Parts: sequence; structure tokens; C-alpha cells
Amino acid sequence: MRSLRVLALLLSICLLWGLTACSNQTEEQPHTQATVETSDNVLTIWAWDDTFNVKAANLAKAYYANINPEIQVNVVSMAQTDIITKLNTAFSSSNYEGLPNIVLIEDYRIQNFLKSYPGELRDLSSIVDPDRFMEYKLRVMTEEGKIYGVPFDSGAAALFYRRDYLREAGYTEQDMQNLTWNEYIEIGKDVKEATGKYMLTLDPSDLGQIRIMMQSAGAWYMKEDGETVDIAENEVLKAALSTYERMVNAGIALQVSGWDPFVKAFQEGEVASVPTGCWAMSNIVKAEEQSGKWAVAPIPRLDDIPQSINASSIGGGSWYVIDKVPGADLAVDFLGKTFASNEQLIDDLVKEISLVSTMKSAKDLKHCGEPNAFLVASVFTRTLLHGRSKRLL
Amino acid sequence: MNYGLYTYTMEDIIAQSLQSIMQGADMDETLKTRRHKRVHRFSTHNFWIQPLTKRSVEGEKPG
Repeated sequence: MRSLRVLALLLSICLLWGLTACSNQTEEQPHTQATVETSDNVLTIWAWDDTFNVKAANLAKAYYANINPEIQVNVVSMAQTDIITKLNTAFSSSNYEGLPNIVLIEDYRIQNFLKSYPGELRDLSSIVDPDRFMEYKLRVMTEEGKIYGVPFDSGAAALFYRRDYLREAGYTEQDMQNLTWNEYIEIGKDVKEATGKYMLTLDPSDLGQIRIMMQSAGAWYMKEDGETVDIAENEVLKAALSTYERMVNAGIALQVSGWDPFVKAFQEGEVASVPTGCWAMSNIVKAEEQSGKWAVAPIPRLDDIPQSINASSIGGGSWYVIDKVPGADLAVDFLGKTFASNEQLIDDLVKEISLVSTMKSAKDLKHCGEPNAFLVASVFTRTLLHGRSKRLL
Repeated sequence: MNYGLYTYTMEDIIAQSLQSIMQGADMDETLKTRRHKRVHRFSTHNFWIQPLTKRSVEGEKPG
């Protein structure tokens, strides 16, 4: 076991070497220093993105206070890279001091934690009813029949776009439906010419667009076994790289580095569209003066790849309990009574953060069917819930 | 589809490959070669071969 941990530490160092802006939800938000208490009546939660995950945790905290008022819940906002670093360091050394009870982990990373550090995350099968959640979401957090997480948000991809910029370039909402990426690039050229605005941001160290394109065709960097590299003969990857290159060469992309410039670009009106995960909505609506100027359409598909469709996914995370931090039983109770079961909480999150939940019943909740004032003529959540089922895992 | 264990490690490799491709390297050859190469951290500076925008040349942060 000791050698396994050393091996895991080395692997972690290699992985962290490449972690800068590796996810669209990675770099964001103030780096609040964790003040961790682990007494019987205190729970600590780590999450990233103040407008989305952290806000969700705080709302869950408010719900739980009505159930268990004597419990103090500390929600700590922390960059995802910092969370990953701290977890790897702690699990590798078996030193759990300073770790939270509950932590949000991105879907792309959870299998690495489960396989590299068996026993570190609590089996949550007792509180997660698999019939209540999307199967694709459960798959990444299930090992040997045990469910280790509480599914949270969908990473369903969407094309958010500025109606005003597109109209200035002569395009209507109808023109933005079910595009191919080549069509998107041509529209981007017209938008740039008519408005001077870039069509999108691209971050050279974060290939989220490549991931979106690949998953729209059911492809990934690895083969289906998750272990065999699939690069050299991967025609979908090649099509995605060519598309990316065309975007850059067309002059429609604003180069950014990291999360904050990415968010700033659309909040300050520098780009005409944001093709990304539905979780970005909580940051888009923060630019209140842009209300009514945005709309959402299906994510474009790859040209010349027949299996590519106008649906994809990027990011998404779930809640986990660290087994060896005192208070794990209480943490399980918290998750069991909030994110694992509470439909009212989920419905409130739809309203508060535009959550596209992976709880199956979310599609029938009150706020899911309500038009979003920010997105003209769009029932955002229901639209994304529809896309959610098309091309995920 | 299975994300597997190495999404971001692979992405580092692909990002380097993309840099080479945008500098004119053959895609097939680059991807074959990268498949066997060790992952190195790379700088995002000078990443794009696209002519730099005015604000980039001036060293201004985008946004």
C-alpha cells in the first residue's frame, strides 16, 4: 500500500505539472484560505466557482440548517487546481489535517482519485439512489458496484451567443440553430467584419473546445477502455484540431489565458458567442446590463464526421466525502438530505444558478420550464436538459 | 465513452501537438510522434502562430 501511495504521489506530481487552466472551471475565483474545523458539529465543504458551485453549497447549507440547526457548515471557495493539489498531497501522505469533509471533484478527474487512492473517499451508496440520477454521471463515480459521489451538475454544452451582435452581422436566431463548426466560423468572420467583435475566446492551454468537438462524436483521447491512448489514428481528434486551426486562422478567436480573462471577455462584450458548458450561464447573467441580449442554441457539430451531432458535454462535477476526516458520517447525512434527494433545493438552484441537474426528476421541476429573462425566447434549463441526454458519456 | 484516468495529461500532449501543427508540422506525423513522447510542461507564451493582435503585442491582458 505504501508503494502504491508513493507511485500515486509521483503520478500526481506529473499530472499537476500540467494543471494550469486545464478546465473551463479550473482557475476561477478568490483563493479563500481554508479554515478547517473538524469537531462533531462542524462540516467543511470545498468547491470552486463562486457564482455556481459555491453558491449551490451555500444554498444546501441553508436547507440543512433547517434540518440540523446545531451544525455549523463552512463553505470554502478554492480554485480547482488548489483543491486537486491538496487532495493529492494529503492522500499520498495519509495526512488529512486541513482537509474538508465534503469536496467537489470534476468528472474528468474522479476516476483517477478512485483508482489511485482506494479507500480515501466514502462509499455513498446508502444515500444515492441510482434510479434518481443520470446513468452516465453515475458511471464515472462507481467502482465495483459502489457509488462514491453525489451527482451534481451536467456539463451539457451549448452555444451562448449575443443576439445584438449577430443581428448586426445579418443573422437571426434561426440561423444559429444546429450549425456545423465551419458554418460557425463563416458567421464569425461576418460578425468580426460587421461589429469588430471576436466570435469566441480560445485558451491555448485549455483545449475545452477540442473536448466538446470530440465528445459530440462520441470520441475521446482514450479508447473505450479508458486506458488505451487514441491519438494517432483518431480521425475525430484530427477533425477537431483542424477546426481549431481554422478558427485561429480565420481571426475570429480572442486568445485568453485562464478562467478570469475568459469570463471577462463575455461579461465585457468582447465576444459574440460562448460555446461551452451550461454552467457558464451563472457567469453570463452577472453582466446584468446584457439581459435580453443573449440567446442559446445547440452546440455546433463537426463537418465531415457523420457521427458528430449538435450535442456535447464539457466539465461537470459531483460531491464527495473524505472518509478519514472526522465528521464523515455527518457529511454523508448532509449530502443525503440535500444534493442527493432534495428536489426543492435542486429547483431553487435552477432558479438561482441556472443549474442543469443530473437528477432525473429535474426536468419536471417548476423552474426548469420557466423562460429565462436573460436569454430571449429560451427555456434555458429544459433546452439543456434535452441536450443532456443526447451525447454525454 | 470512458474518460479514463489521463484526460489532462493527454491534453497537455495534444496542446503541444497543436502548437507544432499550427507552425506547419504535418498533423499525422506530429500525432504519431507525440504518442510516444513524455509530457513536458509548456508555456502558453508565443503559443499561437496567428499574427498577434494589437493588444497582445502591447502585452495587454485580453479582456
